[in-house]
Amino acid sequence: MYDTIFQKQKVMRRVVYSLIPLFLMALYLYGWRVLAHTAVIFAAGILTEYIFERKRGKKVSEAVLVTCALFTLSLPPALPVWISVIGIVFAVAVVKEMYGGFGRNVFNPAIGGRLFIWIAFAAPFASAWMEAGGFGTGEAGVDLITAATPLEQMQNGTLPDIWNLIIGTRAGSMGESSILLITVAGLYLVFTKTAQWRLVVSTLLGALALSAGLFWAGVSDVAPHYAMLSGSIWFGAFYFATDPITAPNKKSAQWIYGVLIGTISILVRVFTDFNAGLSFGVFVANVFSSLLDELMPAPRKKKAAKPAKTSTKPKEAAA
Amino acid sequence: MNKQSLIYTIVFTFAVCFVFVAILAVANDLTAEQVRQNQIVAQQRAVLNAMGISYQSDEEVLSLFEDVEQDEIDGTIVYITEKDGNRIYAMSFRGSGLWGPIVGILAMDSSLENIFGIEIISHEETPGLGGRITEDQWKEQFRDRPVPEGSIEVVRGGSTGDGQVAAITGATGTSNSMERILNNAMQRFRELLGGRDA
Amino acid sequence: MSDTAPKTVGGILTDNLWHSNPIFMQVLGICSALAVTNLLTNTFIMSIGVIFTTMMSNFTVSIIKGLIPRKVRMMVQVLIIAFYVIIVDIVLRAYMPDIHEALGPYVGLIITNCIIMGRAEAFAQSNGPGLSLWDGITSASGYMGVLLVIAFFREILAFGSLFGFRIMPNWFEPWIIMAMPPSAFFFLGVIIWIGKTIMNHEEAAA
Repeated sequence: MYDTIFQKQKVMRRVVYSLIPLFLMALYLYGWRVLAHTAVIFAAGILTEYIFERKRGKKVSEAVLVTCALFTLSLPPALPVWISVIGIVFAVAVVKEMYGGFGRNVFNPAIGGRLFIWIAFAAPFASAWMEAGGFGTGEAGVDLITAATPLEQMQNGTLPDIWNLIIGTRAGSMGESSILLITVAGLYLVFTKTAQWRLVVSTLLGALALSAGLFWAGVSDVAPHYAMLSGSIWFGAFYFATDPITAPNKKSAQWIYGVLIGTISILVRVFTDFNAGLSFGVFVANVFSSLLDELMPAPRKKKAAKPAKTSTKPKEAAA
Repeated sequence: MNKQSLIYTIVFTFAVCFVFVAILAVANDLTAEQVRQNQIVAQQRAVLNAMGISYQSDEEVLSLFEDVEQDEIDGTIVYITEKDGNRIYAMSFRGSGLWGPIVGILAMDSSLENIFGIEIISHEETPGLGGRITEDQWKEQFRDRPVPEGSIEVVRGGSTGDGQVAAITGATGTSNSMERILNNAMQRFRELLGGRDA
Repeated sequence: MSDTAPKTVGGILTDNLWHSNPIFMQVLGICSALAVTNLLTNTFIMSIGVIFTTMMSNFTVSIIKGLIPRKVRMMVQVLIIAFYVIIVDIVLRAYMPDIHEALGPYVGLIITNCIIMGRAEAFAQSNGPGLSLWDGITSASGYMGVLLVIAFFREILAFGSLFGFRIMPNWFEPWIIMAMPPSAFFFLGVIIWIGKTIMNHEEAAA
């Protein structure tokens, strides 16, 4: 049954495995809502891809599982479930399949879907953040509490507790909060060569440099270490910047690409009303990805940067 | 006659331009009065809206507006009317929004400690987001809103008290612009009317 | 396309409404398709303006085509189109100020609509006034049809209303992105997709 629907992709599986701890954490933080979102998003996402791929006579890629998982984790917990369905259908149908399916999409599907519903449903998004902890019941046992995310708190002048940021007990998207777990999961991906370390490091450095610069220049009130630990920069650096389909292949291009993501994220966060900085950063950088690959000189050693990334990429096979 | 010759081409081009432009000039002239009328009615309607005076038709706007006093102070036109024994002052304001200028009318009572109402005449904010400043639901928040500190604050979410109105969800930029524009307008009001007896 | 097809009244109609529909077959005039389609009323008025302009400029070009020197052909066409566009603008400003306000600069921009120039050059230059008038009406109607479909979905999703009347229930959450011009791309893309698919089926069947 499974084999007739899915084509096996080892790399994508490793990403899904690495996300399991984050899901468990989200479950602890927000309770049943995580399960509801997960179930609905996976069902809708897989179905959408199945409909498109059946037309082409192909199987569903396991990459769609990664897309669904990342999409789920990047949503605020109290978002109405029907909105997340629209988001994942848009992500898979428009951002991925309309470009030709797995390996040919220009933009990261999860990011595309997230931005689409973020802009379309700004009002529900703004009130979909919850107090974290206790399986979604909050400390007082009250079910639904609209909470301010650390970024909003800092805009209003209160500093969140740094340990809460590291452990993840703070309001935010379902999977973005625990810096500790993301780092552990991310390191697993880097050491299994599933994720390219250059992309992670350059994204984080870009964000750190700009947020520090803006802080010292007096433009932004958010100290760089808080900027790095809040929002979805950390999560995005490990999971969105490293998407092998939409990131460039050459070493030098990867450095520039990561820095682009990091800096644009901070720029959007500091200077606009949208607090989806990281998503915009990845989205804009996606546009430049192939251009960067084209412009950068070829690596001197033949195929030096290759091993982990491109082996499963049908981009080249198809081209 | 050779239709491709230079002389013919010049004469023809000139004639065509002349005829069409002449017709346009006449059309423009014929409608000029109507256009001016439209602009006046639009301005007067906005003033009446800000003052909370209701009307049914354009004709009624013109006749109701005859009861509104106009006073030019320091180069700014201030509209004055009596309502339920109170004097209400109105003035147009203008400032930069998120995408372009926001123009409207602000009405205050004679103490200058209560906003009586606002009306937006033109704006270029995002439709559906910042553009919602023209919706009654948002504008009605200003109706009889006391501003004891002489300024208004746009707050995100939650209930609003004196000197506060709710921001438009998802349109922080426009909300902040409105806060700034209205506070400037109230400042101007005080400069113009400050020395007067209430 | 219309160059080879017989120039009959019926042939022009089906060509302009479907087989070579200006928007989804020729992909012309999409700038205005993006800009004005967030409300049906605006779209409708705008389309009427385009129909009027295309029809009248086609008609005028066709009548005086024998008099126009080749060298200034295009210039004269632009002049004629601009003339009718300004007429539309003046009428709206004088008698429908609200709509004029809502459409803003887009009325003036009808002149840049490639459909009008395209029809004047491709059809009116080489056909009689009657057929040209008809060609103008039908090709602009093809434009209007597609725009109304886009506007239908955009208005209902962005504002929950049709022609300004609220028809969606209160719990309906508006899709703000649909009020912004880029969202028309999604619908335009889908319409081109559907149109081409149907046409491919027709060709395969023929």
